[in-house]
Amino acid sequence: MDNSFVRIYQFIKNILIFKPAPEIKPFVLEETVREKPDANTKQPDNSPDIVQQELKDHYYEFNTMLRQARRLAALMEKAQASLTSNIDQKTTSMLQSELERLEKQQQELAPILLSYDNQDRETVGESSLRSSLAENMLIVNRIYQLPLNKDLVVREITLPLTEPVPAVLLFMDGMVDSKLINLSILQPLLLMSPPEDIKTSQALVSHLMREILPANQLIRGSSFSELQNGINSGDSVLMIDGINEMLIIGSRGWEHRAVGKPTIEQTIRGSQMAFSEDLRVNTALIRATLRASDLVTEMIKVGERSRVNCAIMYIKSIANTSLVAEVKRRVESIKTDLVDDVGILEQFIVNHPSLPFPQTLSTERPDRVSVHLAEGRVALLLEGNPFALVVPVSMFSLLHSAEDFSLKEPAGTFMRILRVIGAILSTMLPAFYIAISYFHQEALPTDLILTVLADRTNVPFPAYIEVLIMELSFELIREASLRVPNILGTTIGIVGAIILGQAAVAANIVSPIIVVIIAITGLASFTIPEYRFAFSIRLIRFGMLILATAAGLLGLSSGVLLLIAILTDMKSFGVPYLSPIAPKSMAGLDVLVRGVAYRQEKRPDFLNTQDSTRQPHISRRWTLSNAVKGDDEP
Amino acid sequence: MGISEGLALVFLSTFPRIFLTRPAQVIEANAGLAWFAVIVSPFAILLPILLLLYVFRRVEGDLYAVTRELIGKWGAWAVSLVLIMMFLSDAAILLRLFAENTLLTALPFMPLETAIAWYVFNAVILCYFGIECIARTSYFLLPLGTAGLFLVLVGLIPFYDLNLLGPWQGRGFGQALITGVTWSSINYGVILLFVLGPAFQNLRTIKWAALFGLGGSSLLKALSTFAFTIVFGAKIALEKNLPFYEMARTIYINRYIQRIDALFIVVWVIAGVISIAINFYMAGYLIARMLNLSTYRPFIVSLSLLVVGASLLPGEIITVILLDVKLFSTLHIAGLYGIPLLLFGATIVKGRRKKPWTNG
Repeated sequence: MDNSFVRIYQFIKNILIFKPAPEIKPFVLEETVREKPDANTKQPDNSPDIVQQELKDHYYEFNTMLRQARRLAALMEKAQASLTSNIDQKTTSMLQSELERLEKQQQELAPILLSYDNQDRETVGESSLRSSLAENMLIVNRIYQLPLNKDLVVREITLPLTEPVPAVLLFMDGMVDSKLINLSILQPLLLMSPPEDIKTSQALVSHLMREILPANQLIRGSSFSELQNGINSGDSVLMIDGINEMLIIGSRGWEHRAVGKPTIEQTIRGSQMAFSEDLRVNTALIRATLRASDLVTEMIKVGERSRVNCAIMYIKSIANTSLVAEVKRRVESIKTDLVDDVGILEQFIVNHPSLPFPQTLSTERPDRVSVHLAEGRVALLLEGNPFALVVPVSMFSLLHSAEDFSLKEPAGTFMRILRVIGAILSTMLPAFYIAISYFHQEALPTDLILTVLADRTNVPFPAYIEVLIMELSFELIREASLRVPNILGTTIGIVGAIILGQAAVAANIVSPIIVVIIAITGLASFTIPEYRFAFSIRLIRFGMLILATAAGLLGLSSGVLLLIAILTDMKSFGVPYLSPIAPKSMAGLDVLVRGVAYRQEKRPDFLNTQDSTRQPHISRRWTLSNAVKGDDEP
Repeated sequence: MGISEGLALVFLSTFPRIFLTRPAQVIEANAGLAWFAVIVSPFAILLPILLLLYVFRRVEGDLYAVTRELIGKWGAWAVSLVLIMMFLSDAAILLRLFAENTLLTALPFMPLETAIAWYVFNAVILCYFGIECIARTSYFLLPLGTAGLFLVLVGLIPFYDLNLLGPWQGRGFGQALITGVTWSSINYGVILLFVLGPAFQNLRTIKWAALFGLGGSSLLKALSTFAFTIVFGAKIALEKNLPFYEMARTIYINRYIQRIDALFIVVWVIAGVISIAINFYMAGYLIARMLNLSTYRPFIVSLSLLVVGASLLPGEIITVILLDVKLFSTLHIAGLYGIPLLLFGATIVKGRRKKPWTNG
């Protein structure tokens, strides 16, 4: 039926009845077999994943055996051909050595098959190198996802020995020095004269190490984990057919930033060097500043997938051995995929990661690290990071600047006191204003309170809302100026501070006194040398503000008390955070007051160093003897 | 813990009453010689300290362990109960008095219950952190508090009038001595060093912490009482309920620096909270020791509720002040002198002599 009534009916029906659009299945990142939501839910044995895995294992086993059979067949064909023709001594010895190699590979077949039973990343990584280069390359292909992965370069060569032997040089493109590989590895290997009396594989490896390869860092390896560590660190790996060992040749040479000036910890005097992203350059910078023979640099790999080097530096004769052991224990125990930043590393190793206060000293200056190492602390540097972490640290160290000791005692002390005042103002000034203006107006002189009141007449918000608006605006300006390019950043700072402040006052959104208070607070927060510490103070400020709004100076008192209690309770690698004041210990005139350099006789007591004396009681020995007469004196 | 932590604990547990009505009461009893009565108090306390040092040289452990060894389990329970009552009653009275003072001087519109809850909340959190944290917080804040007090004393220099001390013998030295000894129990906090015992490094630490803590606190209290007398005079001083607040209120440097009493609220609030927290901790610690428990923490909240309830029992502040005087001249004085005497007697009777303990 197709008449007007039906068409009208269909038309109305189409309008009224909801028809959803054809559903397209959205992309969902599904969980893998291992990511079981419920540990109690057992995966059935005949699940497709497990069946697939079993099939894979059988495939690998079968392929391995097939390859071995092919090699054997090829050798037999060669032997047959040789027997039919005139056989010479050279061919015989060649066939003999090839047979020996095959026998050896046959013996290794069982472990290979076993290793294929569970072909996950860890098992392959832990297994040993085989004698068969082809087998080794198959495993390398699996580890590095070749040929999909284009970063790993596989350079196949033939070593010109009496009987030419196939070999492979593996390296990561972009992480190596190409010139060094060409001139110091490939050229010597390809142009070497065949050695006469090399009988065993061990002798060949030793010969290559001692007489052929001129690289300054050259080590032997025998497992795939060593192979991965080497290649991932920018070294080259040489694998030779018939030898179950490899040579890891130092060839690092990736592009990195040159040593530059400090950007966060700028100083007028003192060293002007800063760390870069190259770990070895960074350790060298520290060693160049602190030329102690017993300055130890230990390397620990951090991260399960991305094996990044973490350098732990300390002076063996000064640092407390249990502190060093604890730092190493914490770093070694990290089990995670990737640690690519010292900030992340810090969260893994400190006692109170959820508290905003930094429990390590983060610095970009090698000279600062050196000073702390000489005091008995331990430094941690992470590959690819231009910052070092120094542990343990007390709160007062975070208020010190690299420049303090470059200046004379009064100036250094003055600057430190100024920073403490800055920290106190930054924490409490807005809260104090709210407390006084809300609950204790009598503390303000009459003239001042009248002025404040007159300014606030047209402002519709209560004072704490004004403070919150301005604080948030200030934080926005600060964040925005960090995120935009440098040239714009300055402009945004000026525009934000002046225009926004003036406009807010003109629009009667905030009163002028609030602008002044927030400006002073902001300035004060910039006096704190440690960025993370300044950040934690910014957070605390909001807490103080809430307490002061609730109960005036009573609230502020509670805030101060609880803040001190939390700080007192904190520890940084076993050292109380408020050391050397609470608990009291000898600090060698280096807490708030900065003593003259020649009076810094002891190392900080709370570090419990092996050698507590920094210098003798009289370090200016010239004061003990008479002046030497000059040539022009009679 | 070391000497600094010990002295801070003693200081903060014996000092806070200077912010309350106690100086006015001492002046009432001794007129111009009130400061002398305050100085006498610590000397009187030396007796129980020396007795306990004698006992602790011979028997090792904290006060509970020592008492248990000397007079048995039930004796240790009885002594601990007396101490718990001393600490908890002190906490309840301090809580009420500080809360009332907060309303009088800073937050007149705040309900009393809210003020009490505020103090208790802070004290509970502090107590939860543990005695080491309380001691270190006290030690950290001690110089700031003392500086605040000195600032008040210095700010009052223009108002000092030595003539107001007259008659300088007040109600006589005899009366001052009696008051000093009778009211010495407000320094009972020194006993906490022995209650915690091995938490300190050794007996030498306890001895010096007691001397420095008590000495410093008494010196400042005497100085403050002296200043109070020469600013207001004995007769007017009697009318001032909160001497420290009144002194701070009197300061007039110029038109811009006057009525700065509000700023010193921070000092006495912090002192009050720490003192209450110490009392909570000591009571909780003793209960845990009595019941042989590994931690005191489960008791903190219940003890705080008990103390809040007790502090709200008196109808008005006058009753609390009278109760304070009564408790300290009975329970606390009995505990302060009785317990050391009892232990000393038991040591003599048992004639024990052991190697002094040390935790190092």
